[in-house]
Amino acid sequence: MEDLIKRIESIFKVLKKERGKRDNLWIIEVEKDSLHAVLSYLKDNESFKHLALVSCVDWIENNKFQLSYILWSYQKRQNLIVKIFIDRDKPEFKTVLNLFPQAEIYEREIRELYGVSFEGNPTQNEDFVLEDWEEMPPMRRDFDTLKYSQEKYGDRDSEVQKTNIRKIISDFTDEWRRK
Amino acid sequence: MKKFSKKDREVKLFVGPQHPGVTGNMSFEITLEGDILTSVKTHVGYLHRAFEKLMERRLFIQNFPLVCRICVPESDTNEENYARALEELSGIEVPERAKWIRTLVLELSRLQMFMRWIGGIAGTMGLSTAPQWSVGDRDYILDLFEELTGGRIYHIYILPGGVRRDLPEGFEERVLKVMDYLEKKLPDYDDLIFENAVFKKRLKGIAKIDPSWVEEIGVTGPVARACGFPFDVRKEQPYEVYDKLDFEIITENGCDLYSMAMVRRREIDLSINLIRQIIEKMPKGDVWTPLPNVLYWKIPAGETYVKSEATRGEFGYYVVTDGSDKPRRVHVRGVSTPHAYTLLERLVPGMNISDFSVAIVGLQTCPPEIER
Repeated sequence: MEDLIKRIESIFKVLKKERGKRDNLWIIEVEKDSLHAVLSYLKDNESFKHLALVSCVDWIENNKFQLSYILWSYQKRQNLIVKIFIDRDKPEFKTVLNLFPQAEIYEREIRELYGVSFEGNPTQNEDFVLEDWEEMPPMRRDFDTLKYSQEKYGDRDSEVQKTNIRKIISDFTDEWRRK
Repeated sequence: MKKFSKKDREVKLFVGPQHPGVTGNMSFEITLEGDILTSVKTHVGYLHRAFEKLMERRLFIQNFPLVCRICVPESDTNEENYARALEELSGIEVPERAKWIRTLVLELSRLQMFMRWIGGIAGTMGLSTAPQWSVGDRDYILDLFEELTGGRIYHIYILPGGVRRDLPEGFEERVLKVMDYLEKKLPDYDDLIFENAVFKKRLKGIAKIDPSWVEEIGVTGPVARACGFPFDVRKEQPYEVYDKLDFEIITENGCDLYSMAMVRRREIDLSINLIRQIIEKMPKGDVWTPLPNVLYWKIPAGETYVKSEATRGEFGYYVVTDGSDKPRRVHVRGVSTPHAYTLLERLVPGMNISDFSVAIVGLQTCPPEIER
């Protein structure tokens, strides 16, 4: 697997490489402009044909979104995570649909939950799990679920609300922590 | 006579969100010409519970009651994956016996899921004796779970560092007794369903998969193995103690729903065999490495992707941590996501409408894991 990383490094610029916690997992970070070339190279020349997942992580403190492409090689029996960082203020990227048809759904999900748009994906604007959602994309770190539900639905006038259950739980947890 | 264009003859029909046999709610927007389907559009969103968002606000240990609900009938696979991801990231060692117990629980869980699937697929084609039998027999396995963990469906038994408690006294014998019973009963299932003329006629040649699609769109599990593609995570990337067990990957070559059914039928035998092997080889010892105080438990920054072979294929957890006491991101790879969208869209053109519900149960789609 080290040879493979060396081969990739000889062709593309690898910003960061990291061995996973177990033997058959490697994580590499590449420049976002070269991602398609890297994935295409891995798919055609290095037998990484199976795209298991496309995922997005919100690093709000660095003002970045991380996009991770998790690949698996049937021949080498290796997992490889290729990741890139895109600007949080300009959440746009290009689709990998031409390389992996199943990416369509994962990209649609990221479009809806993080607001990252993928140029070239024809169905990305269709609803995935939300309907008529007009707020901020809900999986972003600065979306406060509690505040949203209180503003949208209001507090119910019930015994549970009056007793302030959250305070009771946090007091109890603090007490437990002290023990 | 007035000639109708193709567009005039097409009818749009909404199937779902309720189905017999599909565990959860998802709706399909199908386009029909006569009784032949021309296209399908899958819609999910009836079960979205925002688990991934909730997990980012909770401590690591508080997420265990959430992860087991991600795929309702297969709670143990989720628990095991999440626990294994946390162990990898924090470097906790698991005692040997705990690994064996985990594998036993996973195989029992697989077996009960297969029994449930028999009920599902037979129910969709009107063979209503089989669901009665298989749901009844599945209950014997749930009884074992109840004795071991206290819960029938959601167990919260597998935790980071091992399992919650050791096997009760005499539990192995009771597992073997249920296995003996199932093995005696399986020939009856063969007569009732798998050798049944109706079953064969309804499944053979339906939903023909092109073997090249398997690599192209990431099909896994029994669907891939029905195309003669030997991919099983238990063998390719052994987790827990699967590398110490003796088994072969089961494949068929029909590429249709009947081959998928036969792969699952043979995997029932395999699961029973594996459970016997586990009970025979299981060592004695501890089952639990004590964790640090879980309310203060911080995991160093890192990311990992763990996967396991669920009943339906590759089930994966992508976990990212940032050094705090809560996960930064947990993304679940549901097996059904490529199956229910990309694969189904390719399978449907030319299919008869009466085969459609058989096809979605035959692919064993599970909506809760698509939307989490």
